[in-house]
Amino acid sequence: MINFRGFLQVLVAGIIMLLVSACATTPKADLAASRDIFHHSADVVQQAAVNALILTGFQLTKKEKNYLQGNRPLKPGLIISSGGETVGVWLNLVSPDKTQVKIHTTKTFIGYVGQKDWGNEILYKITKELSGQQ
Amino acid sequence: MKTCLKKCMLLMVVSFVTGCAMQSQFYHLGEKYPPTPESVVIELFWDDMPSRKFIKISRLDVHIENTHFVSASFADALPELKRQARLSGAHAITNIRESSSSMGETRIYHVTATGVRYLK
Repeated sequence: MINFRGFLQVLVAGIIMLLVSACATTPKADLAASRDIFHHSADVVQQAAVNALILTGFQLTKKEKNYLQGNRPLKPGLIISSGGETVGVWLNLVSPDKTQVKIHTTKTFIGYVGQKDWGNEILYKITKELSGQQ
Repeated sequence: MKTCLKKCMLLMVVSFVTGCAMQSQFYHLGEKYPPTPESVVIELFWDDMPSRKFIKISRLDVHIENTHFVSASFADALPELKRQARLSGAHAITNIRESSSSMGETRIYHVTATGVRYLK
């Protein structure tokens, strides 16, 4: 005899897990709405971008020559949870002392309401880091 | 009904426990040094600089995010800031900069500082 209630619980849990995993997409460079050019070399801008990610609460999950990826840990709240976003930062060398930065934030299905696009804030933090204000 | 209430309370307790996140890290600004021993007291300099000769050796970051409208302060970050300074081989913490913001019911607090090492 099949336990219908147990089967239903497993099914609901499976659907939730599928939604969580399926909606945590990878950032894409061509979808990056936040972009800016900085008058510094790629190495200097990359370090400033790493600092900017740390300042905005991202954990660095990927660090490549021209790409950084970070994730904000998900924290449950009373009404709205916070975190869960993944951000991709692309660094393109325009000239030896000029670097373009493109940022794309992806959100997850769970916690979507408490998540935001961090692109502009990260660009602002990079600017502050490069000007030595932070 | 009683079971449901118990489950709800358990969920709330779990939610309160997991509603806080602290991230911290340091990186060396140049040469790497071994961690400072526990016996050495890490000094704190808010506005002034150490009178002894020193070199800047590390950047220190502590980031705290609390949900449930609970704010964090420098006191909450200090133990972790000192731990990061010690791990980086610093003898003192200088150039302390705080920032705080909020997002919904989340309160964000961040402190950045510079670890310095005394020269003999």
